[in-house]
Amino acid sequence: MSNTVTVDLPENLTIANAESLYNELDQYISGSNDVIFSANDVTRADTAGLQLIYVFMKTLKQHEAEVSWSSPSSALIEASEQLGLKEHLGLVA
Amino acid sequence: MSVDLSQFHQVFFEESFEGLDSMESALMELDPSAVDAETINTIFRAAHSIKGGSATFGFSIVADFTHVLETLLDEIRSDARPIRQDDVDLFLQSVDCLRDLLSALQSDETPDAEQSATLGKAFEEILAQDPQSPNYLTVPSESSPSGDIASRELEDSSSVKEGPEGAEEIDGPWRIRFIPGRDILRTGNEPLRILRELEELGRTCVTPIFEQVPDYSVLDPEACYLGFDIVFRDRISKSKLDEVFEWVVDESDLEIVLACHQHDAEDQGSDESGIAVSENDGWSVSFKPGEDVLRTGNEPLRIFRELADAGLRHVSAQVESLPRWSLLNPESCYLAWQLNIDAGCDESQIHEAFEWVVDESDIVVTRQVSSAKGATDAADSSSNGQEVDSISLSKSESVSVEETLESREPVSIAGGEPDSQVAIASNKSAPQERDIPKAAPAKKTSSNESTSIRVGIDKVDTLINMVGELVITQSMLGELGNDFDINCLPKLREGLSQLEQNTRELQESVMRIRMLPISFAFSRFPRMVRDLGKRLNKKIHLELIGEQTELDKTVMEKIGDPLVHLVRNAIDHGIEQPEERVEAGKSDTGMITLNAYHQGGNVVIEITDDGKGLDRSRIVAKALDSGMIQEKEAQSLSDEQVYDMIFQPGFSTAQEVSDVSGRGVGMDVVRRNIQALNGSVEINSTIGKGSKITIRLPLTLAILDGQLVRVGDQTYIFPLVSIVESLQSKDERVSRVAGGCDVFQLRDEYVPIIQLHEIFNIDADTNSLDEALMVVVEYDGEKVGVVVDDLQAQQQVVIKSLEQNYQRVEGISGATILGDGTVALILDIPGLVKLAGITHQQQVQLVSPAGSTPSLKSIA
Repeated sequence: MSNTVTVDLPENLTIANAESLYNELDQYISGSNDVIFSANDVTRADTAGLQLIYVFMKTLKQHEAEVSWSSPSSALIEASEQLGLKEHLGLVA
Repeated sequence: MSVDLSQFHQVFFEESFEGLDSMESALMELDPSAVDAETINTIFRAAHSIKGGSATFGFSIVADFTHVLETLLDEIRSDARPIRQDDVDLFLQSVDCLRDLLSALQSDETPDAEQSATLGKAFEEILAQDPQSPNYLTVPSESSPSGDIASRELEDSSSVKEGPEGAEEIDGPWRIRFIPGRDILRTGNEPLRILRELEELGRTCVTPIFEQVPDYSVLDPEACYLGFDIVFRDRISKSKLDEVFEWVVDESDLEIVLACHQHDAEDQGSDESGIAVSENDGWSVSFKPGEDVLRTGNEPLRIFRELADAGLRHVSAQVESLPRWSLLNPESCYLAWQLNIDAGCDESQIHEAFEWVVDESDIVVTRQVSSAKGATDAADSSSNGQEVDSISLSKSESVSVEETLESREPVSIAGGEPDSQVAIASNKSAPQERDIPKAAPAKKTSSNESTSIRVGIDKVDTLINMVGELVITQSMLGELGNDFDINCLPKLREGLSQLEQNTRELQESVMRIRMLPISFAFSRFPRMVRDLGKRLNKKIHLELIGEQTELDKTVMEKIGDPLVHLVRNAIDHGIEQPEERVEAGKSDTGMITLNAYHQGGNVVIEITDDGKGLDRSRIVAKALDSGMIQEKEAQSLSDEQVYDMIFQPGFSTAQEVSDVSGRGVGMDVVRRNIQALNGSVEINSTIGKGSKITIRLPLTLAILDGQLVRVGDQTYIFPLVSIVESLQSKDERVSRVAGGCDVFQLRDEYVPIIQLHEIFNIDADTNSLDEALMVVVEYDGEKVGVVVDDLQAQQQVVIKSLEQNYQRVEGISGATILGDGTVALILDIPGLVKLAGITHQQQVQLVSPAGSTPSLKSIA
């Protein structure tokens, strides 16, 4: 049975932090753990940030690991909706 | 022996376009009440050269048209005939017409003979009039082309024209069903020309009717099978519409009826023009941005938010092109989108939203009209409500009315990289009818522009002289080397210093070849100001100063769009309506000045207007409203800091969004574009008196004035333009904020510190700030201190692209080779700030005066 790790997403889920978040998420990409994104603090999100999360989720799903959200902020949900990524990111209530 | 004249075509086209540019400029300067002989001569010479060249190369359509133009100009030149304002307008339209003809010929297309024939007829009628007649100066030419009269008519719908048309009622919107005769293409009556002509008269929505189109096997490629269902959305007299179809009405099936009469009873929804609109009506936009779109700051989310105001209904992301995790570059954009926008959204709004990304993206805008309601029979049968008017956006410097309309014409895909086009093509949901066979002349012209550069012979001569000097020095050194002894050392040194000087001068001369006068960028503004002024009912005088100031060609090409944006803003938001100006005690004519000059190693461009200026209180209120600043900060902000806020994404104080500007998109992109050129932009403004925007740009992108610094055993280069000051750092002035980055107290402000050795992971001489030096640089209006071990020389460095030779590296904008052969990296300040994880918000918080505790949060 796999363990679950919680990843705190940064306040700015934007291109400014995309590279560092990519490096951070890289350690979980093997799919040995389920991941919960704690996204309560996200105040800004953009294409680079959400695209990164999507590819991460897709990759983890291929490894049959679960990715879920913990209290996604309204800013995150709004940006994902505006980018047409809400369903892809599993942010539909 | 026959000579292949086609090899000279390109030169002819280039010269002709230049001639047309100077003709247009001269016409803009021309005052019919005080005609300057030299101005008329300039116009005449340009027309004469084009006529001569086109006759030589067998472009008879151009030669014939310029012949009649030249005849009239000759009479004006020899004082046999006075020139009237109407004639100037007609000449300006001739310039446009000649541009179209030449562009078509350049692209190996069939030129539109109709437009030149109409204008030619107008000139012939003028020539037939007696210039000595007492009425000549007062009665305008009746034969002005329809487009111009119509646009004036539309601007002032209450105007009553003389003659039979004056009595006719102006009405609309109209629905036109146009089924051209099968042979219409063979007779040269191109339906596209008719549709364009309609578009010149007002807003149109065209639905092609495909029902007569046969199978491919039986298709006659020269026959016309298409029909068109057209909604003309503006008010106009029916006779004007009849005129457009005058040449084809006999061989076509044509029906022009008032649209509202047709739908009164049956429609539930209607748009602003009274045209039926169903739930399914609207725009479909396929948007595949270039991979670098995020890096250039053109965030798609911002575009969608702007479109949300314009009626964006649905966004669906296409994720098929996303790479595997291991191949993902988190700063590249792999997504594409399909957008649905309300029918009520004006097409120009869509164009404007994508204005800054059109170069690097694949964008297809498709008009969707439901056939269920209100369409004519043919339109009904045409379909299930899909794809009616498919337009690919191309790079457009489009701002004026004409240009915006032009961009509605079908053009081929532009700007997209080959791979991104493949991505779109392979996408199932991309519209099928994206490709429109007609090539876009504008696109071709722009690609031609970048292929050649016209260089003054004096520059080439200087270059040859320099090379001559270099050869002399080289042979002197060679001789010295053949027979060298220690006594020759002073002579060797002298020779080397001579070589250094020759090399520097040669470098400067070569760089000068790439320099063009800024008039190339300025030349579009007189026409643009005139057209926009007319459209907004504002009186504006444009003054251009320093047009001969030279600037690198690449910089010039990249500064064009930001300049257009700034001038457009000045016209739309800066200059007041004449009556407002008079009330404010100003002249009713607003003044916009574009001034360019060299200052140090930079080119400075100033855009000044004497309009209403920026309203500090409104900007502050908006910033408070959007949470950009806090109440207590608002008081302490200087005017410069307040004005600087208009460069923030999405910031607009415009009370009304116009189709010219005012949606808050653009100023941030303007600044980002200027910063990408290593330039800067600042605003000064006085309420009621006007604003001045100052842009500073480097003379060239190939050479940079750099400050060499050392960190450990590595040498890095700061662009000198970004350095504010350098100082000895002192540990006691550094505050370490818990969980955040360190800040340095620089007089009365706190500056975040970036430790270069930490970011690049190298061993510095010391970890003690007391022993290090700090270079204070400015980025985005905020200061950052970069800690280095030592400051070295300042020198000009030739920039080598890292991306071309290696790959893109965050925090590094390029590399150069130093005198000792080693490679030094050139620092990219914005990238460095990003790497260090210092956000703009943090920096804003740091503006607090000394004594107060800076509040910082770590983001990285």
